[in-house]
Amino acid sequence: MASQRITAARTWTPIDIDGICRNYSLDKNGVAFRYKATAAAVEALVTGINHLLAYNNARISFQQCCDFETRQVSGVDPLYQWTLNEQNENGRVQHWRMVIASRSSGTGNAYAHRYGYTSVRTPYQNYTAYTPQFPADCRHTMLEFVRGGARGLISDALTTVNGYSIIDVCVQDEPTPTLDITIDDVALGGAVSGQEIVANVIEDLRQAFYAVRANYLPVLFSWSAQGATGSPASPSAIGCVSGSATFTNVLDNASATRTADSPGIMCNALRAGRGDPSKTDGTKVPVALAILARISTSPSGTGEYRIIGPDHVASNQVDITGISATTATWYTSGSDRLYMNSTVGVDDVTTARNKIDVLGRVTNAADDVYCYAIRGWQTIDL
Amino acid sequence: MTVDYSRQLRWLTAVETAADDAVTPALREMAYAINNYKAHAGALKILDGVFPGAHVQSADGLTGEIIELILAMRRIPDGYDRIHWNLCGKMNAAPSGQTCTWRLYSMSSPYPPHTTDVLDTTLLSVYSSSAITISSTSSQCPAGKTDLKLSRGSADGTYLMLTSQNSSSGSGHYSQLYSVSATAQVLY
Repeated sequence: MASQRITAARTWTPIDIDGICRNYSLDKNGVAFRYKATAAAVEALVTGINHLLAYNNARISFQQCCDFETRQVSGVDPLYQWTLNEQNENGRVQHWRMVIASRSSGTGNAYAHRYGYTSVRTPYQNYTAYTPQFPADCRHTMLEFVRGGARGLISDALTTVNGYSIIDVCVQDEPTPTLDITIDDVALGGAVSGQEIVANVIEDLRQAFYAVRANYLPVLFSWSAQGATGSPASPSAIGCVSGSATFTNVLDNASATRTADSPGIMCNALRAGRGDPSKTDGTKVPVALAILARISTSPSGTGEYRIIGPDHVASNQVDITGISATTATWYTSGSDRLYMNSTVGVDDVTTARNKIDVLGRVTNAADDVYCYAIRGWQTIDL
Repeated sequence: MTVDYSRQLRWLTAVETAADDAVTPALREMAYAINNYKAHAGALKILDGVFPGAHVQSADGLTGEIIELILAMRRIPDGYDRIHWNLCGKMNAAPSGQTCTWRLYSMSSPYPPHTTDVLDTTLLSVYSSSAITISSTSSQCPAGKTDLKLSRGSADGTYLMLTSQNSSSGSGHYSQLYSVSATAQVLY
Protein backbone atom coordinates (compact mmCIF):
# COMPACT_ATOMS: atom_id res chain seq x y z
CA MET A 1 0.00 0.00 0.00
CA ALA A 2 1.41 3.42 -0.89
CA SER A 3 2.35 5.54 2.11
CA GLN A 4 0.08 8.46 2.89
CA ARG A 5 1.56 11.88 3.46
CA ILE A 6 0.23 15.08 4.94
CA THR A 7 1.61 18.60 4.62
CA ALA A 8 3.10 20.30 7.66
CA ALA A 9 3.05 24.05 8.26
CA ARG A 10 6.38 25.66 7.46
CA THR A 11 5.71 28.72 9.57
CA TRP A 12 5.53 28.51 13.34
CA THR A 13 2.46 29.91 15.07
CA PRO A 14 2.77 30.15 18.86
CA ILE A 15 -0.18 28.38 20.45
CA ASP A 16 -2.25 30.91 22.36
CA ILE A 17 -4.47 28.42 24.12
CA ASP A 18 -6.38 30.82 26.38
CA GLY A 19 -8.35 32.23 23.52
CA ILE A 20 -9.64 28.88 22.29
CA CYS A 21 -9.71 26.57 25.27
CA ARG A 22 -10.55 27.24 28.89
CA ASN A 23 -12.59 25.61 31.65
CA TYR A 24 -14.80 28.52 32.63
CA SER A 25 -15.69 31.99 31.52
CA LEU A 26 -17.86 34.80 32.87
CA ASP A 27 -20.89 36.02 30.99
CA LYS A 28 -22.00 39.66 30.99
CA ASN A 29 -23.92 39.14 34.23
CA GLY A 30 -20.78 37.88 36.00
CA VAL A 31 -21.99 34.32 36.03
CA ALA A 32 -19.49 31.56 35.34
CA PHE A 33 -20.40 29.11 32.63
CA ARG A 34 -18.55 26.10 31.41
CA TYR A 35 -16.50 26.36 28.25
CA LYS A 36 -16.27 23.40 26.01
CA ALA A 37 -13.03 22.50 24.33
CA THR A 38 -13.15 23.46 20.68
CA ALA A 39 -12.02 21.83 17.48
CA ALA A 40 -9.87 24.92 16.90
CA ALA A 41 -7.82 24.04 19.96
CA VAL A 42 -7.20 20.52 18.70
CA GLU A 43 -6.24 21.77 15.26
CA ALA A 44 -3.82 24.31 16.73
CA LEU A 45 -2.06 21.51 18.56
CA VAL A 46 -2.02 19.29 15.47
CA THR A 47 -0.46 22.09 13.42
CA GLY A 48 2.14 22.74 16.09
CA ILE A 49 3.13 19.09 16.52
CA ASN A 50 3.44 18.46 12.79
CA HIS A 51 5.49 21.63 12.32
CA LEU A 52 7.91 20.38 14.98
CA LEU A 53 8.14 16.96 13.33
CA ALA A 54 8.70 18.37 9.86
CA TYR A 55 10.94 21.37 10.56
CA ASN A 56 12.29 21.41 14.12
CA ASN A 57 13.21 17.77 13.79
CA ALA A 58 15.70 18.70 11.07
CA ARG A 59 18.34 18.25 13.72
CA ILE A 60 22.01 18.98 13.54
CA SER A 61 23.54 15.57 14.25
CA PHE A 62 27.16 16.69 14.15
CA GLN A 63 29.24 19.79 13.61
CA GLN A 64 32.95 20.44 13.87
CA CYS A 65 34.94 23.52 12.95
CA CYS A 66 38.57 24.55 13.08
CA ASP A 67 40.54 27.60 12.13
CA PHE A 68 42.41 27.76 8.85
CA GLU A 69 45.79 27.00 10.41
CA THR A 70 44.58 23.85 12.14
CA ARG A 71 42.87 22.24 9.15
CA GLN A 72 44.05 18.81 8.09
CA VAL A 73 45.96 18.97 4.80
CA SER A 74 46.26 15.23 4.25
CA GLY A 75 43.48 12.70 3.78
CA VAL A 76 42.26 11.12 7.03
CA ASP A 77 40.12 7.98 7.18
CA PRO A 78 37.96 8.74 9.09
CA LEU A 79 38.54 12.42 9.85
CA TYR A 80 35.58 12.99 12.20
CA GLN A 81 33.42 10.49 14.11
CA TRP A 82 30.20 10.80 16.07
CA THR A 83 27.50 8.71 17.66
CA LEU A 84 23.89 9.52 18.37
CA ASN A 85 20.64 8.04 19.63
CA GLU A 86 18.89 8.54 16.32
CA GLN A 87 15.10 8.72 16.51
CA ASN A 88 14.24 9.53 12.91
CA GLU A 89 13.08 6.60 10.88
CA ASN A 90 14.01 5.87 7.29
CA GLY A 91 13.69 8.39 4.55
CA ARG A 92 15.32 11.53 5.92
CA VAL A 93 17.50 13.46 3.49
CA GLN A 94 20.68 14.49 5.21
CA HIS A 95 22.99 17.31 4.15
CA TRP A 96 26.65 17.38 5.13
CA ARG A 97 27.51 21.02 4.46
CA MET A 98 31.15 22.04 4.52
CA VAL A 99 33.48 24.95 4.17
CA ILE A 100 36.62 23.70 2.49
CA ALA A 101 39.98 25.16 1.57
CA SER A 102 41.98 24.46 -1.56
CA ARG A 103 44.49 21.73 -0.95
CA SER A 104 48.13 22.68 -0.69
CA SER A 105 49.58 19.48 -2.06
CA GLY A 106 48.66 16.08 -3.36
CA THR A 107 47.69 14.45 -6.60
CA GLY A 108 44.71 12.31 -7.45
CA ASN A 109 41.07 13.07 -6.86
CA ALA A 110 40.47 15.00 -3.65
CA TYR A 111 37.07 14.65 -1.99
CA ALA A 112 35.26 13.84 1.24
CA HIS A 113 32.91 10.93 1.64
CA ARG A 114 30.76 9.29 4.23
CA TYR A 115 32.94 6.73 5.99
CA GLY A 116 32.38 3.33 4.43
CA TYR A 117 30.40 4.74 1.49
CA THR A 118 32.77 6.08 -1.17
CA SER A 119 29.84 6.76 -3.48
CA VAL A 120 28.36 9.23 -0.97
CA ARG A 121 30.86 11.99 -1.60
CA THR A 122 31.45 15.63 -2.39
CA PRO A 123 32.41 16.93 -5.82
CA TYR A 124 36.11 16.61 -6.51
CA GLN A 125 38.31 19.48 -5.44
CA ASN A 126 41.45 18.78 -7.42
CA TYR A 127 42.81 22.28 -7.61
CA THR A 128 46.13 22.60 -5.74
CA ALA A 129 46.84 26.13 -4.60
CA TYR A 130 50.45 27.28 -4.53
CA THR A 131 49.87 28.77 -1.08
CA PRO A 132 46.25 28.50 0.13
CA GLN A 133 44.95 31.79 1.50
CA PHE A 134 42.15 32.45 3.94
CA PRO A 135 39.39 33.18 3.14
CA ALA A 136 40.22 33.61 -0.58
CA ASP A 137 40.73 29.87 -1.15
CA CYS A 138 37.63 28.80 0.79
CA ARG A 139 34.33 27.66 -0.66
CA HIS A 140 31.07 26.07 0.44
CA THR A 141 30.09 22.61 -0.69
CA MET A 142 27.84 19.76 0.33
CA LEU A 143 27.08 16.09 0.01
CA GLU A 144 23.55 14.75 0.21
CA PHE A 145 22.04 11.33 0.67
CA VAL A 146 18.91 9.64 1.93
CA ARG A 147 19.69 8.27 5.35
CA GLY A 148 18.09 4.92 5.98
CA GLY A 149 17.99 2.76 9.05
CA ALA A 150 15.79 2.27 12.04
CA ARG A 151 15.88 4.18 15.27
CA GLY A 152 18.61 3.52 17.79
CA LEU A 153 22.20 4.21 18.69
CA ILE A 154 24.13 4.85 15.50
CA SER A 155 27.68 5.82 14.65
CA ASP A 156 28.77 7.75 11.60
CA ALA A 157 31.93 9.34 10.28
CA LEU A 158 33.47 11.50 7.56
CA THR A 159 36.58 10.65 5.55
CA THR A 160 38.81 12.93 3.47
CA VAL A 161 40.95 11.79 0.55
CA ASN A 162 44.05 13.18 -1.16
CA GLY A 163 44.40 16.45 0.71
CA TYR A 164 40.76 17.51 0.84
CA SER A 165 40.81 20.20 3.58
CA ILE A 166 37.78 20.98 5.73
CA ILE A 167 37.32 24.14 7.81
CA ASP A 168 33.82 23.33 9.03
CA VAL A 169 31.26 20.58 8.61
CA CYS A 170 27.60 20.59 9.67
CA VAL A 171 25.56 17.40 9.37
CA GLN A 172 21.88 18.27 9.39
CA ASP A 173 18.67 16.55 8.37
CA GLU A 174 16.60 18.35 5.78
CA PRO A 175 13.11 19.44 6.72
CA THR A 176 10.29 17.24 5.42
CA PRO A 177 7.42 19.45 4.25
CA THR A 178 5.24 16.37 3.98
CA LEU A 179 5.10 13.70 6.67
CA ASP A 180 4.51 9.98 6.21
CA ILE A 181 1.66 9.02 8.54
CA THR A 182 2.99 5.48 8.95
CA ILE A 183 6.46 6.32 10.23
CA ASP A 184 6.61 9.95 11.32
CA ASP A 185 4.57 9.96 14.59
CA VAL A 186 2.19 12.35 12.87
CA ALA A 187 -0.66 14.05 14.69
CA LEU A 188 -3.80 13.49 12.66
CA GLY A 189 -6.33 15.58 14.56
CA GLY A 190 -9.84 14.32 13.92
CA ALA A 191 -11.71 17.06 15.74
CA VAL A 192 -14.71 18.44 13.84
CA SER A 193 -16.10 21.88 14.43
CA GLY A 194 -19.49 21.72 16.12
CA GLN A 195 -19.02 18.17 17.36
CA GLU A 196 -17.94 17.02 20.78
CA ILE A 197 -14.25 16.36 21.29
CA VAL A 198 -13.92 12.72 22.26
CA ALA A 199 -11.25 11.11 24.35
CA ASN A 200 -9.53 9.11 21.62
CA VAL A 201 -8.79 12.30 19.65
CA ILE A 202 -7.05 13.81 22.66
CA GLU A 203 -5.26 10.58 23.47
CA ASP A 204 -3.91 10.29 19.89
CA LEU A 205 -2.68 13.86 20.16
CA ARG A 206 -1.06 13.19 23.49
CA GLN A 207 0.83 10.19 22.13
CA ALA A 208 1.98 12.08 19.04
CA PHE A 209 3.32 14.99 21.06
CA TYR A 210 5.01 12.81 23.64
CA ALA A 211 6.77 10.91 20.88
CA VAL A 212 8.24 14.24 19.75
CA ARG A 213 9.05 15.46 23.23
CA ALA A 214 10.64 12.20 24.37
CA ASN A 215 12.58 11.24 21.26
CA TYR A 216 13.49 14.21 19.11
CA LEU A 217 15.87 16.04 21.38
CA PRO A 218 19.01 17.98 20.45
CA VAL A 219 22.68 17.20 20.75
CA LEU A 220 23.91 19.47 23.55
CA PHE A 221 27.67 19.18 23.07
CA SER A 222 29.99 17.54 20.60
CA TRP A 223 33.65 17.42 19.68
CA SER A 224 35.66 15.19 17.39
CA ALA A 225 39.40 15.11 16.92
CA GLN A 226 40.92 14.98 13.45
CA GLY A 227 41.44 11.26 13.17
CA ALA A 228 41.48 8.71 15.97
CA THR A 229 44.99 7.27 15.95
CA GLY A 230 47.18 10.17 17.06
CA SER A 231 49.29 10.16 20.21
CA PRO A 232 49.56 13.84 21.02
CA ALA A 233 51.77 14.88 23.93
CA SER A 234 49.32 17.66 24.85
CA PRO A 235 45.69 18.52 24.00
CA SER A 236 45.32 19.44 20.35
CA ALA A 237 43.05 19.07 17.35
CA ILE A 238 44.25 15.47 16.90
CA GLY A 239 43.28 14.37 20.39
CA CYS A 240 43.46 14.86 24.14
CA VAL A 241 45.91 12.96 26.33
CA SER A 242 45.73 12.11 30.02
CA GLY A 243 48.73 10.41 31.62
CA SER A 244 48.31 11.11 35.31
CA ALA A 245 46.68 9.06 38.03
CA THR A 246 44.91 12.27 39.10
CA PHE A 247 41.93 13.54 37.14
CA THR A 248 42.91 16.52 34.98
CA ASN A 249 40.94 18.57 32.47
CA VAL A 250 41.37 17.19 28.94
CA LEU A 251 41.19 20.64 27.30
CA ASP A 252 44.22 22.06 29.13
CA ASN A 253 45.71 18.93 30.74
CA ALA A 254 46.10 20.97 33.90
CA SER A 255 42.91 21.94 35.78
CA ALA A 256 42.00 19.41 38.46
CA THR A 257 38.55 20.69 39.39
CA ARG A 258 35.53 22.20 37.70
CA THR A 259 34.98 25.86 38.47
CA ALA A 260 32.83 28.52 36.85
CA ASP A 261 35.76 29.45 34.58
CA SER A 262 37.68 26.22 34.06
CA PRO A 263 38.01 25.09 30.43
CA GLY A 264 34.78 23.43 29.41
CA ILE A 265 32.09 22.97 26.81
CA MET A 266 29.08 25.25 27.03
CA CYS A 267 25.49 24.47 26.23
CA ASN A 268 22.06 26.03 26.67
CA ALA A 269 19.39 24.09 28.58
CA LEU A 270 17.28 26.92 29.94
CA ARG A 271 13.69 25.76 30.64
CA ALA A 272 14.31 22.44 28.91
CA GLY A 273 13.44 20.28 31.91
CA ARG A 274 10.10 18.86 32.97
CA GLY A 275 7.91 19.54 35.95
CA ASP A 276 8.14 22.36 38.45
CA PRO A 277 11.55 24.12 38.25
CA SER A 278 11.26 25.16 41.89
CA LYS A 279 11.73 21.47 42.74
CA THR A 280 14.97 19.56 42.20
CA ASP A 281 13.66 17.21 39.52
CA GLY A 282 12.31 20.18 37.59
CA THR A 283 15.79 21.67 37.32
CA LYS A 284 17.29 18.57 35.71
CA VAL A 285 17.81 18.19 31.96
CA PRO A 286 19.18 14.66 31.53
CA VAL A 287 22.04 14.04 29.13
CA ALA A 288 23.45 10.75 27.85
CA LEU A 289 27.17 10.66 27.10
CA ALA A 290 29.66 8.94 24.83
CA ILE A 291 33.43 9.18 24.55
CA LEU A 292 35.68 7.81 21.82
CA ALA A 293 38.90 6.76 23.49
CA ARG A 294 41.76 4.32 23.62
CA ILE A 295 44.61 3.51 25.95
CA SER A 296 48.26 3.29 24.95
CA THR A 297 49.56 -0.02 23.65
CA SER A 298 50.45 -2.80 26.10
CA PRO A 299 48.69 -1.06 28.98
CA SER A 300 49.36 -1.80 32.63
CA GLY A 301 45.96 -0.46 33.69
CA THR A 302 42.91 1.28 32.24
CA GLY A 303 41.74 4.80 31.44
CA GLU A 304 38.88 6.75 33.00
CA TYR A 305 36.95 9.90 32.23
CA ARG A 306 34.88 12.02 34.57
CA ILE A 307 32.35 14.38 33.05
CA ILE A 308 31.21 17.04 35.50
CA GLY A 309 28.13 19.20 35.03
CA PRO A 310 26.57 22.18 36.82
CA ASP A 311 26.35 22.00 40.61
CA HIS A 312 22.63 22.75 40.93
CA VAL A 313 22.33 19.10 41.99
CA ALA A 314 24.79 17.26 44.22
CA SER A 315 27.44 14.96 42.73
CA ASN A 316 26.47 15.86 39.18
CA GLN A 317 29.11 13.79 37.41
CA VAL A 318 29.38 10.65 35.35
CA ASP A 319 32.41 8.38 35.37
CA ILE A 320 33.22 6.33 32.30
CA THR A 321 35.74 3.75 33.41
CA GLY A 322 37.50 0.64 32.23
CA ILE A 323 38.93 2.08 29.01
CA SER A 324 41.08 -0.79 27.88
CA ALA A 325 40.83 -0.86 24.09
CA THR A 326 44.08 0.02 22.31
CA THR A 327 42.22 1.25 19.22
CA ALA A 328 39.63 4.03 19.39
CA THR A 329 36.35 2.66 20.76
CA TRP A 330 33.08 4.27 21.83
CA TYR A 331 32.35 4.15 25.55
CA THR A 332 28.94 5.33 26.71
CA SER A 333 27.40 6.38 30.00
CA GLY A 334 24.84 3.56 29.75
CA SER A 335 21.88 4.42 31.96
CA ASP A 336 23.83 7.04 33.92
CA ARG A 337 22.85 10.64 33.28
CA LEU A 338 24.52 14.00 33.62
CA TYR A 339 22.09 16.85 34.38
CA MET A 340 22.11 20.28 32.79
CA ASN A 341 20.42 23.10 34.66
CA SER A 342 17.04 24.26 33.39
CA THR A 343 17.02 27.39 35.58
CA VAL A 344 19.99 29.28 34.13
CA GLY A 345 20.75 30.80 30.74
CA VAL A 346 23.97 31.38 28.87
CA ASP A 347 24.64 34.57 30.84
CA ASP A 348 25.07 32.76 34.16
CA VAL A 349 28.61 32.97 35.57
CA THR A 350 28.37 30.67 38.58
CA THR A 351 29.25 27.01 39.01
CA ALA A 352 25.57 26.32 38.31
CA ARG A 353 26.11 27.33 34.69
CA ASN A 354 25.56 24.87 31.87
CA LYS A 355 29.19 24.01 31.27
CA ILE A 356 30.64 20.53 31.29
CA ASP A 357 34.23 19.77 32.12
CA VAL A 358 35.82 16.51 30.98
CA LEU A 359 38.62 15.16 33.11
CA GLY A 360 40.74 12.10 32.39
CA ARG A 361 43.15 9.87 34.25
CA VAL A 362 44.83 6.48 34.09
CA THR A 363 44.90 3.85 36.83
CA ASN A 364 48.59 3.21 36.13
CA ALA A 365 50.86 6.18 35.50
CA ALA A 366 52.86 4.14 32.98
CA ASP A 367 49.90 4.44 30.56
CA ASP A 368 48.30 7.26 28.58
CA VAL A 369 44.63 7.46 27.67
CA TYR A 370 43.58 9.36 24.54
CA CYS A 371 40.19 10.93 23.86
CA TYR A 372 39.12 11.56 20.26
CA ALA A 373 35.46 12.51 20.57
CA ILE A 374 32.98 13.65 23.20
CA ARG A 375 29.20 13.57 22.71
CA GLY A 376 26.25 14.54 24.89
CA TRP A 377 22.62 14.41 23.79
CA GLN A 378 19.49 15.30 25.68
CA THR A 379 17.16 12.53 26.86
CA ILE A 380 13.81 12.48 28.64
CA ASP A 381 14.51 9.86 31.29
CA LEU A 382 15.64 11.17 34.63
CA MET B 1 -1.73 37.33 23.31
CA THR B 2 -0.80 35.16 26.26
CA VAL B 3 1.58 32.61 24.83
CA ASP B 4 3.54 30.81 27.52
CA TYR B 5 6.91 29.35 26.44
CA SER B 6 8.50 28.98 29.83
CA ARG B 7 6.21 26.40 31.43
CA GLN B 8 8.13 23.14 31.38
CA LEU B 9 6.62 19.83 30.33
CA ARG B 10 4.19 18.18 32.74
CA TRP B 11 3.51 14.55 31.95
CA LEU B 12 -0.11 13.73 31.27
CA THR B 13 -1.59 10.31 31.90
CA ALA B 14 -3.71 8.73 29.20
CA VAL B 15 -6.97 10.56 28.49
CA GLU B 16 -9.68 7.98 29.11
CA THR B 17 -12.92 9.85 29.60
CA ALA B 18 -14.99 12.03 27.32
CA ALA B 19 -15.74 14.66 29.97
CA ASP B 20 -14.89 18.26 29.16
CA ASP B 21 -13.07 18.58 32.48
CA ALA B 22 -10.52 15.99 31.40
CA VAL B 23 -10.17 17.29 27.84
CA THR B 24 -9.59 20.97 28.51
CA PRO B 25 -6.70 20.64 30.99
CA ALA B 26 -5.07 18.11 28.66
CA LEU B 27 -5.28 20.46 25.69
CA ARG B 28 -3.95 23.39 27.69
CA GLU B 29 -1.06 21.40 29.12
CA MET B 30 -0.09 20.15 25.68
CA ALA B 31 -0.17 23.66 24.27
CA TYR B 32 2.23 24.89 26.94
CA ALA B 33 4.49 21.89 26.35
CA ILE B 34 4.58 22.38 22.57
CA ASN B 35 5.47 26.06 22.96
CA ASN B 36 8.13 25.12 25.52
CA TYR B 37 9.62 22.46 23.24
CA LYS B 38 9.85 24.94 20.36
CA ALA B 39 11.53 27.64 22.42
CA HIS B 40 13.66 25.58 24.78
CA ALA B 41 13.69 21.77 24.92
CA GLY B 42 14.02 21.35 21.16
CA ALA B 43 16.08 24.45 20.35
CA LEU B 44 18.92 23.77 17.93
CA LYS B 45 22.52 24.15 18.98
CA ILE B 46 24.04 25.74 15.89
CA LEU B 47 27.66 26.19 16.91
CA ASP B 48 29.68 23.73 18.94
CA GLY B 49 33.32 24.68 18.70
CA VAL B 50 35.67 22.83 21.06
CA PHE B 51 39.41 23.47 20.79
CA PRO B 52 41.62 21.29 23.02
CA GLY B 53 44.78 23.07 23.96
CA ALA B 54 43.05 26.34 23.04
CA HIS B 55 44.38 26.02 19.51
CA VAL B 56 42.07 28.69 18.06
CA GLN B 57 43.71 32.01 18.83
CA SER B 58 43.66 35.64 17.78
CA ALA B 59 46.41 37.00 15.56
CA ASP B 60 49.53 37.98 17.47
CA GLY B 61 50.66 41.53 16.87
CA LEU B 62 47.51 42.79 15.19
CA THR B 63 44.68 45.03 16.39
CA GLY B 64 42.41 44.81 13.37
CA GLU B 65 39.29 42.65 13.39
CA ILE B 66 40.47 39.30 12.02
CA ILE B 67 38.26 36.49 10.72
CA GLU B 68 38.98 33.29 12.68
CA LEU B 69 36.12 30.89 11.89
CA ILE B 70 33.90 30.67 8.81
CA LEU B 71 31.06 28.19 9.14
CA ALA B 72 28.82 26.33 6.73
CA MET B 73 25.13 27.17 6.57
CA ARG B 74 22.88 26.16 9.45
CA ARG B 75 19.22 25.78 8.51
CA ILE B 76 17.05 27.30 11.23
CA PRO B 77 13.28 26.58 11.28
CA ASP B 78 10.80 29.42 11.33
CA GLY B 79 10.04 30.91 14.73
CA TYR B 80 13.57 31.53 15.98
CA ASP B 81 14.72 35.13 16.20
CA ARG B 82 17.83 35.20 18.34
CA ILE B 83 21.09 33.42 19.01
CA HIS B 84 22.31 32.86 22.56
CA TRP B 85 26.07 32.26 22.69
CA ASN B 86 29.07 32.12 24.95
CA LEU B 87 32.71 31.12 24.94
CA CYS B 88 35.56 30.00 27.14
CA GLY B 89 39.12 31.22 26.66
CA LYS B 90 42.02 33.15 28.07
CA MET B 91 44.60 35.77 27.25
CA ASN B 92 48.11 34.58 26.54
CA ALA B 93 50.58 35.81 29.15
CA ALA B 94 50.35 39.61 28.90
CA PRO B 95 50.46 42.72 31.12
CA SER B 96 47.14 43.39 32.81
CA GLY B 97 44.70 45.49 30.87
CA GLN B 98 45.11 43.74 27.56
CA THR B 99 41.94 42.27 26.16
CA CYS B 100 40.62 40.53 23.11
CA THR B 101 37.10 40.99 21.74
CA TRP B 102 35.51 38.03 20.01
CA ARG B 103 32.53 38.78 17.77
CA LEU B 104 29.99 36.32 16.44
CA TYR B 105 28.24 37.27 13.21
CA SER B 106 24.99 35.88 11.85
CA MET B 107 24.67 36.56 8.11
CA SER B 108 22.06 35.83 5.47
CA SER B 109 24.71 34.80 2.91
CA PRO B 110 28.33 33.61 3.08
CA TYR B 111 31.23 36.00 3.50
CA PRO B 112 32.86 36.23 0.09
CA PRO B 113 36.33 34.78 -0.60
CA HIS B 114 38.15 38.01 0.18
CA THR B 115 41.91 38.24 -0.32
CA THR B 116 42.61 39.15 3.30
CA ASP B 117 41.40 37.83 6.64
CA VAL B 118 40.94 41.36 7.93
CA LEU B 119 37.19 41.80 8.10
CA ASP B 120 35.72 44.17 5.52
CA THR B 121 32.23 45.05 6.73
CA THR B 122 31.29 46.43 3.32
CA LEU B 123 31.32 42.84 2.07
CA LEU B 124 28.77 41.65 4.61
CA SER B 125 25.24 40.87 3.54
CA VAL B 126 22.33 41.32 5.94
CA TYR B 127 23.92 40.59 9.29
CA SER B 128 24.06 41.20 13.02
CA SER B 129 26.87 40.73 15.47
CA SER B 130 27.51 40.48 19.18
CA ALA B 131 30.74 40.68 21.20
CA ILE B 132 32.31 39.01 24.23
CA THR B 133 35.62 40.20 25.67
CA ILE B 134 38.35 38.08 27.24
CA SER B 135 40.66 39.82 29.69
CA SER B 136 42.19 37.20 32.01
CA THR B 137 45.31 35.11 31.54
CA SER B 138 43.57 32.31 33.43
CA SER B 139 40.77 30.34 31.82
CA GLN B 140 37.74 32.62 31.66
CA CYS B 141 34.14 31.96 30.66
CA PRO B 142 32.48 35.40 30.56
CA ALA B 143 28.75 35.92 30.74
CA GLY B 144 27.13 34.76 27.53
CA LYS B 145 25.17 37.03 25.23
CA THR B 146 21.49 36.93 24.29
CA ASP B 147 21.41 39.94 21.99
CA LEU B 148 22.48 38.47 18.66
CA LYS B 149 19.68 38.69 16.13
CA LEU B 150 19.35 35.82 13.71
CA SER B 151 19.86 36.78 10.07
CA ARG B 152 18.59 34.24 7.56
CA GLY B 153 18.64 33.89 3.80
CA SER B 154 15.97 32.55 1.50
CA ALA B 155 16.71 28.91 2.38
CA ASP B 156 16.16 29.60 6.09
CA GLY B 157 19.88 29.33 6.54
CA THR B 158 22.23 31.47 8.57
CA TYR B 159 25.98 31.74 8.07
CA LEU B 160 28.01 32.20 11.22
CA MET B 161 31.44 33.78 11.43
CA LEU B 162 33.71 34.44 14.41
CA THR B 163 36.25 37.25 14.49
CA SER B 164 38.83 38.42 17.01
CA GLN B 165 40.28 41.83 17.81
CA ASN B 166 43.19 42.40 20.18
CA SER B 167 43.44 45.60 22.18
CA SER B 168 47.22 45.61 21.85
CA SER B 169 49.63 45.01 19.00
CA GLY B 170 52.35 43.97 21.42
CA SER B 171 53.94 40.58 20.87
CA GLY B 172 52.22 37.85 22.87
CA HIS B 173 49.10 39.93 23.59
CA TYR B 174 46.65 37.53 22.01
CA SER B 175 43.73 35.40 23.15
CA GLN B 176 43.09 31.65 22.94
CA LEU B 177 39.75 29.87 22.87
CA TYR B 178 38.82 26.56 24.50
CA SER B 179 35.24 26.57 23.24
CA VAL B 180 32.46 28.62 21.65
CA SER B 181 28.80 27.69 21.67
CA ALA B 182 25.57 29.09 20.16
CA THR B 183 21.90 28.07 20.28
CA ALA B 184 18.93 29.40 18.31
CA GLN B 185 16.27 30.98 20.52
CA VAL B 186 12.73 32.30 20.27
CA LEU B 187 12.31 35.92 21.25
CA TYR B 188 9.45 36.36 23.76
